[in-house]
Amino acid sequence: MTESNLVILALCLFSIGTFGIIFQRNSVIKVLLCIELQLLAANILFVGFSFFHESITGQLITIFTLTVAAAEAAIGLAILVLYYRQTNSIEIEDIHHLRG
Amino acid sequence: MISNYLFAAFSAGILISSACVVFLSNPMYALLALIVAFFQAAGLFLLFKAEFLAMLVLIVYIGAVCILILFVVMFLNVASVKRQLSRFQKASLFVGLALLAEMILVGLLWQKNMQPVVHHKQALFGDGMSNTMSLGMYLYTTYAFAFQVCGVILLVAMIGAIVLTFKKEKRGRPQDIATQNARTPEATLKMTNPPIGQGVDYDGI
Repeated sequence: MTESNLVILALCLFSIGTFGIIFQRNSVIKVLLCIELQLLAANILFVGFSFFHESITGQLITIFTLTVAAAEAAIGLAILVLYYRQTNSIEIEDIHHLRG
Repeated sequence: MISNYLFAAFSAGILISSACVVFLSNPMYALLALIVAFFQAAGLFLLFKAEFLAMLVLIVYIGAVCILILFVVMFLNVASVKRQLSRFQKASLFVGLALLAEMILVGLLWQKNMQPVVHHKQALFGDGMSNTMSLGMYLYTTYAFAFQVCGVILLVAMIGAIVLTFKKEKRGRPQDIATQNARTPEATLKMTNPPIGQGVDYDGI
């Protein structure tokens, strides 16, 4: 359980989340799940650093990012529900209304 | 010693279940894999002596955020369609691989003994203080403003979600009691005294 192991774990998790967002064609909900994975990677980094540097600040920041992540998930899902009411589909390939 | 094995086990669990989140085509299964990943992360937080944060992850992330996503997944009709590569995904694969290469570089060149920016050391591991108490020592005093702002953020998110998705039902023709009570006789009646034989000049009252 060393610091560089923690960094590699969190960065792999973040990149898995990034690849999940990039290679997603089916539904917007999987994009939201991969955003939550990225936030989890950041939180793991914060808490791990608070452990290795013996400072409570990382855990305090984790509380705040947890709060903001919950709020953002709620708003994102509300927007998704609204969009579904309009167009009755949530495939990413069908979201092209802003295309020129 | 055993924490090394536990760290390896939880790390493997997180990486495997997050790979399942990405590669499962059914969003319900992907969400369940995400819940498993959050459980492993909570175990990882326990290894880092942050037991309050571990329970907070269980309660907030799994118990609130994932349940919310679960409701939305069950509400929308999501079909698990097999995917094909589009013309943008080759470029974004390159961007993603560049990002991954940079991050691996950071991970390999990581220097130990870097100093933190803000150093609240004394409350963390000393004197048998629980994680809850040591967080509370700083959350309500030094970071009280950020704590209140978090409350405002949650309030705004709640109001925003309700305002966005609230559908007002049209229920026939309801009564508006205040309007009815505010009606005055001058608005409805006009008393006239017409002579016999002449009509009333009806001007549309």
